[in-house]
Amino acid sequence: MLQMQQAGVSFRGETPVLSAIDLTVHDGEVVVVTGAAGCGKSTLLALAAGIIPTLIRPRLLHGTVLLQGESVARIPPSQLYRRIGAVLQSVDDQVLDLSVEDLLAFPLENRGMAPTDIRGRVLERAGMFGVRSLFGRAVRSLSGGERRIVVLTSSMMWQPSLLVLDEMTNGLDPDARARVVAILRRLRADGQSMLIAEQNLGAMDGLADRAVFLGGNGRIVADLPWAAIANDDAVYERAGIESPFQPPRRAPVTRRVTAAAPRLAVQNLSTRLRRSDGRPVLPGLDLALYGGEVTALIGPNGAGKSTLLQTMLGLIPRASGTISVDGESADDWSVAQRARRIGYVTQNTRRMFFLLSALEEVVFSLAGGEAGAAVVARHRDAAMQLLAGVGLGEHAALSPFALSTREQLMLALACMEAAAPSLLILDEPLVAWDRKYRHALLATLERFCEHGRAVLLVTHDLQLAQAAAQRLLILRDGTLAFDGPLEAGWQSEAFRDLGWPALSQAERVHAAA
Amino acid sequence: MLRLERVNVFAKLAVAALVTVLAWFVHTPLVEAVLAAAMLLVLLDCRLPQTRGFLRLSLLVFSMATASWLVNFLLHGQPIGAALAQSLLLALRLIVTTTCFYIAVETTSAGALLAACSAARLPGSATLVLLLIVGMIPLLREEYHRIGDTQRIRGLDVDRGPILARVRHALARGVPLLVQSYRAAEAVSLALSLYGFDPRQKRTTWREVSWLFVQPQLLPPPE
Repeated sequence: MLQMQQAGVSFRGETPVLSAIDLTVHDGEVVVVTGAAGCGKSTLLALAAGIIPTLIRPRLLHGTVLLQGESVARIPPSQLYRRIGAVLQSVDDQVLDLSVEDLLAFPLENRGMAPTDIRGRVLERAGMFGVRSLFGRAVRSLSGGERRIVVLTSSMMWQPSLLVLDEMTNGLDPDARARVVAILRRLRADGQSMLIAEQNLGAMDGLADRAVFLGGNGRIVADLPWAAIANDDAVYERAGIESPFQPPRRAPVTRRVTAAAPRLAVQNLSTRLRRSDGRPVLPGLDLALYGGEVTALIGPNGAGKSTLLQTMLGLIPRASGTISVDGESADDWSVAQRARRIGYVTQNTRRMFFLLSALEEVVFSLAGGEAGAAVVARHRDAAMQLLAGVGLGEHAALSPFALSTREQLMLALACMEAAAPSLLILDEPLVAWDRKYRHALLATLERFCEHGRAVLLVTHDLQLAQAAAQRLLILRDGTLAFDGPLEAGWQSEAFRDLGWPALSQAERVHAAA
Repeated sequence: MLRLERVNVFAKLAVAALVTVLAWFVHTPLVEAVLAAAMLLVLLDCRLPQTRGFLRLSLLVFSMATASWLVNFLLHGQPIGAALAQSLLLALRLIVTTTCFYIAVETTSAGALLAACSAARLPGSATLVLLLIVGMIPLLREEYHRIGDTQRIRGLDVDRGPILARVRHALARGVPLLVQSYRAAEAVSLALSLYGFDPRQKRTTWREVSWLFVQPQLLPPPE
C-alpha cells in the first residue's frame, strides 16, 4: 500500500527532521508511529500523505514515497486526496467554519459529483459513522470527539486506500476516545489501511498491527509487531515516551505545606448559564483548594468544568456565591486582578505570547507586566533558571511562536512560576506521554507545592492525574460527585458512574501503586 | 434558523445594494434616520450573537463621522444648522450601508455561500476568495475575543486603564492575532487541498439553490 524508502526531510539548516526512513504499510494494516514531541511524527505522516512535498515544500527531500507503487509527489492533489484520507493533528484547521453536512459534502462537491449522489453518499456515510444526529450544527460547536469523528467521516467520503491520522485521540476524554477508537477498529475490520501518529499507545490496543518508534534524531529506532511492545521497556526509553503498559511513578501522597486556610475557597457558586433542560450549569458549588496539594478535576463533557473555571477566573459573572483567595474576597476583583493570584494555563498557549523571545515572556511575568531591555537585564538570571526548570534553557532566545505546542506549554508554566500565584489552574495540559515534558511538568507542580501553592489540574488524562495529584474531584452536572483522596476516587461510585473505559487501567495502576 | 439564512446570499447582497442606492438618493436627515432605524430593527430582529458589538461600533462610527464632517463643513464656511444636517445625513447613510451589508454577510453561512457560488457558476478563484473572507472573519473574530480573555487571565487589563497602557497592551492582542491569522490562512489553504478543492474544477452542491432561496439543511430538524 505505502512504501517509504530512505526518506528524509530537512526544513531549516542541515539538521534533518527525518532521516533514512524505511517504512511499509501493507494492505489492511494499521501502523502506529510514536515518539517524543518534536521527533518528526507529524512530518512523517505529512510525507506519507504527500503533503510534503506537494503542499509544503521542504528545504531538502530524500528517498521515495510510493502509494500503490506510484510516487505520491507525482499524483495531482485532487487525485491524491481521493486515495489518501488525512486528519491533521490540529483538527480545527480542517473544519472551515462549515456545518456537519457541508463538511461531509465538501470533498464530493469539489470533484463535481451530482447533487443527488452527494446527498445519498453523505447520508450513507453519516449513518455509518453515527454523525447524522449532528446535522445542522456547525462543526466548530461540537465537542472535541465529535469534531474529530466528523472530520474523519469527511476524509472517508471517497473511500481512500490509506487513512493518515495525526494524534486522533490526544486530549479527548476516555469516553470520546473510546468512541473514536471503536470507529477505527470497525474500519480496520473492513480492511482499511491506516498510518497513525500517537503517543498514547494504550489507546491503540486492539487496533494496531505494528508500532514504529522514532528517536530524537528523526530515525526509526524500532519497528515492532504490536504483541511485542508491551514488554519492551527499553524501546520507550530510546523513543523518549512513557509506556502506558507500566504503572507511572506515584506522586507523594502527603501534603507538603498545607495551610489551615484554603488558598482558594468557593462557596455556593452558581451562574446564570443554564442547560438545555433549564437546570443551572452550576447549581451552587462549594470547593476549597489547599496549598501544597495538587487536586485533579475530572468529569464528562458538559459537566460544567469550563463554566467553573471561567467563573473562578471572572470571565463569567456569578449569579450567587462567593470566591475568596487567601482569605480575601475576590468577588469584586476584575479578571486581571484575579489573574495576579490565580494563574491559569490555557489549552491554547499560543494566544498568550506576544514578546520577541521566551526569555522576555518569563521576564514579563517576573516583572509584573513590564518589558524592555533594562527589565530583561535585571531579571535575566532568575528567568533563565525558570526556563531551565521546564527544560527550555536552550530555547531562551527563540521566539515563543517558534516553539512546539508542548514547548509553549512549558513556557507558559515557567511564566506562571515567575508570576507566583496562590493557585495554579492547568487546563488539560497536553503533554501526552512525552517523557521529558511529563517529567518537567510533574517537577514544576512539585515546586509549586513546595512553595505552599495550590494546583488544580483539569484533565482527561487519568494517568497524569494519577502521577501528579493527591486529591480527586469528580464533577457531574455542576456538582462535585466526589471529593477526596485519589485512590478512593478511582474506586468511588462517582467514578464508576462515568463509565469511562480507562477505569480498568486506572484500577491496574492503583493496584500497582 | 433565521428566515434570512434561507435566502440566497446574492439576493441579499442585491437588496443591500438597492438599499444603499436608495440611501444615497435620500437628501433629508429625517428620512435617512428612518431608513437607518429600519435597518437597525431588521438587525435586532435577526438576533445575531454579535449584534451588541456591531451596535457599539456603529455608535462610535456614527459619532466620529458626524463630528469630523461637522468640523469639515464649518471650516468650509457652512452655517451651523446646514452643516449639522449634512453631517447627520452622511453619517446616517454610512450606518444604512454598513448595516444592510452586515446583515447580508452575517446571515450567510460558509456552506450556503459555497452553494450559491456553485449554483451561480462563479469561477473557482472567486469562490475561493469569498470563502476565505466569509470563512476567516468568524474565526478571526472568535480568536480576537479569546486572545483578549487569555491576556486578561494573564493579568493584563487590555480594555481598561490609561490610554498609553492600553496602546501597549494592544500588542498583547495584536501579535498573537497576527500570528494566528497567518497560521489560519496557511491551515485553511492546506485543508482546502486535502478536501480536493481546485479553483479550475467546476464545483457542485448538495443544496437545492434558486435565485432566491438556498436549502438550509440536509435533513429537517427533529420535532
